[in-house]
Amino acid sequence: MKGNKILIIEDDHDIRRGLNVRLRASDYETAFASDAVMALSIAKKEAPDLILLDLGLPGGDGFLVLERMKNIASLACTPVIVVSARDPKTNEKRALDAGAQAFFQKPVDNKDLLVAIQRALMK
Amino acid sequence: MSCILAIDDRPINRQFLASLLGYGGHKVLEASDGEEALGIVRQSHPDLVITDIKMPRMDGYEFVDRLRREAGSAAPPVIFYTALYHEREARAIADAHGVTDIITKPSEPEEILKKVSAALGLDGLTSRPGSTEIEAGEHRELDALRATGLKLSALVELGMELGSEHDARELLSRFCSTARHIIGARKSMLGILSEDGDKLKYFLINGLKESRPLVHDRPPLHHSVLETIINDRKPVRINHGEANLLLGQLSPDSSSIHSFLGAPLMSATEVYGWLVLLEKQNNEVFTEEDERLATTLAAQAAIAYENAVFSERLQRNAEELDRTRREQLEMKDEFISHVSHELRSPLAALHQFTTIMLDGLAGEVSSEQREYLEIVLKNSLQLRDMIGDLLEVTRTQGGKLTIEPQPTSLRDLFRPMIQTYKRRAADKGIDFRTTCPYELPLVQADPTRIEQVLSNLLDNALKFTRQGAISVSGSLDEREKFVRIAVTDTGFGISADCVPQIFDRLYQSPNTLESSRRGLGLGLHICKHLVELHGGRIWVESKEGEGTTVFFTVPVTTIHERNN
Repeated sequence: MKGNKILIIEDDHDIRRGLNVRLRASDYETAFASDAVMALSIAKKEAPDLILLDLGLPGGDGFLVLERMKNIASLACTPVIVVSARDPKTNEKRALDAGAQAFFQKPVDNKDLLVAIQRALMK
Repeated sequence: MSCILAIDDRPINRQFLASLLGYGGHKVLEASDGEEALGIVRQSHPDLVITDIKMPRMDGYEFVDRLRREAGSAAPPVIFYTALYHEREARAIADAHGVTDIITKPSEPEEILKKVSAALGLDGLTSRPGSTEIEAGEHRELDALRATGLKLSALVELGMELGSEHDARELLSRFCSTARHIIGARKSMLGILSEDGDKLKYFLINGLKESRPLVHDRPPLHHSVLETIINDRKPVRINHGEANLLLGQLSPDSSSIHSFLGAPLMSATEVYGWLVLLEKQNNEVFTEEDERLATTLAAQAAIAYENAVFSERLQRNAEELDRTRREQLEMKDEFISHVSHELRSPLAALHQFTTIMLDGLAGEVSSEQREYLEIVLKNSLQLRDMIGDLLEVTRTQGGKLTIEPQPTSLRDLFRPMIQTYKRRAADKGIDFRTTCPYELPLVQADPTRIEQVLSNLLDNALKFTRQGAISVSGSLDEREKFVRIAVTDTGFGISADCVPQIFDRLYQSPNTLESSRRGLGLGLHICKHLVELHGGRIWVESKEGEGTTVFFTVPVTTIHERNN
């Protein structure tokens, strides 16, 4: 599983950087997108093994990105984990229904997140 | 002589019919409800039934249906006797039920007798049978009696209906027609002035032939007689030739107006408009008694109208207040949801980099640095919990907090969490004990929510205890309907006068350890809400200086698992 590429779609620079440190420490490769518009083209170009997706993005909602991704053949099967500051009570089920593997509310417990990533990659 | 059965739940109406029909030469039987009436029909076979519609137990419609079912084609013809304003509705239903005719309350005695005769097939019989035998004096006496009976019954109806009517137009319309009947005028008009007194807010007419309305499109607002009533706040009564002269502009056919009676609609403080009666029946004139009656009736109508207006206004205000309140609540919820979302992002970065350093991902940390980073981490987690509570408490207020109860074993649910708290207690040098019998039944609970309650109580116990022990125990209550959980500490305790407040929103204990933060004061408030959502109860027993026990109950499930 090490060496897999993870695309971080996140508009907050600091959070993006923090996740990058975390994932690299676990020997994952990383790529980044910071808005909904760029997210899809970067995803197509990078062909990541997994995507971490924020919901509140400039240029469009994360749910929109998720929906579009599921309609692109090369990305439809890429596992997506949503990492958002939004209330899980109103967003978790919606994210899972839209095809996400898991939902994490910020701030995340890194141990749990890394376990979820591993599990998603093994599927 | 025909036998007529009169059914009405009000004795005054029965008496009126009995005296009128008796006077018309008929034998009258009385019943106060449908059940009693059916019995009389079986026994006495009346030729005609006159029945009220609105009656307790069995209404007029049901009575007619029962009668048809029981007697079939032998059933006597039925006439409905109903309040004027129910006429249209009653007419439609009457047709559907095969009812012969409708008499409205109040009605002219002649009209009632005519309809009764028609229903009995005695069409020629519009004059009273046997009238030649009655002396002229007796006649007048009977006429007066009749009139008084009619007035009384109409007044009773009016009083009862006005009291319950809150729609101003409907109320005025009923009043206008009833006033005409009671005083015995051929036409009546009622006007309510607009607030600036320049227009008519309501204008109602009654008893006018539709083809020839008295007023076409413009109500007679500026007529001098009407202005006099309003300005002098006194009734005006004009009879005979004078009426014609004065009422010149009132009507295109004013030559036919031979008598006029007007009274102000006036409460203690306000003149709202006028009531006008035109043309006393039978070419008679309006008497002083009519004037007194009209004045009294108009005053009654003014009060009823005032009430209706107030009640309309109150209703509107209440609705507006309610809408504003809901909008504000919605805005506040949205705001808090937005704020808590925005606070989480910087917190996430803070938390992430603190743990990155603590995990040694940014190089070695000295033990002192580690200690300080732990403090940063602890505080960022506190902040996270407060933000969570903030959102939660808005949900409790908006009624948006929902639970999904399911059969749950509290023992299994609590075990992992209790392990965590045991470690935290041990770190502080505090004993942690649990007692829970194995045979505790399953409860009906939302696992995350009940876990949240216990975790909140244990946080508090740890926060307020410097030394001693914390214990969690579970037991079944006496009636075996609830599992009771008790969380006991040997902390500061709560003074007796604070106990009733501790579940209030924003309550903060004055006795927190200096080292721990006071928090938002939302935890117990949320706990109470959650426990009560489950149908349980939460309460506290405490002695200042000795410790505190918080109890809460969760209902035992009534859903039995298959393998149990």
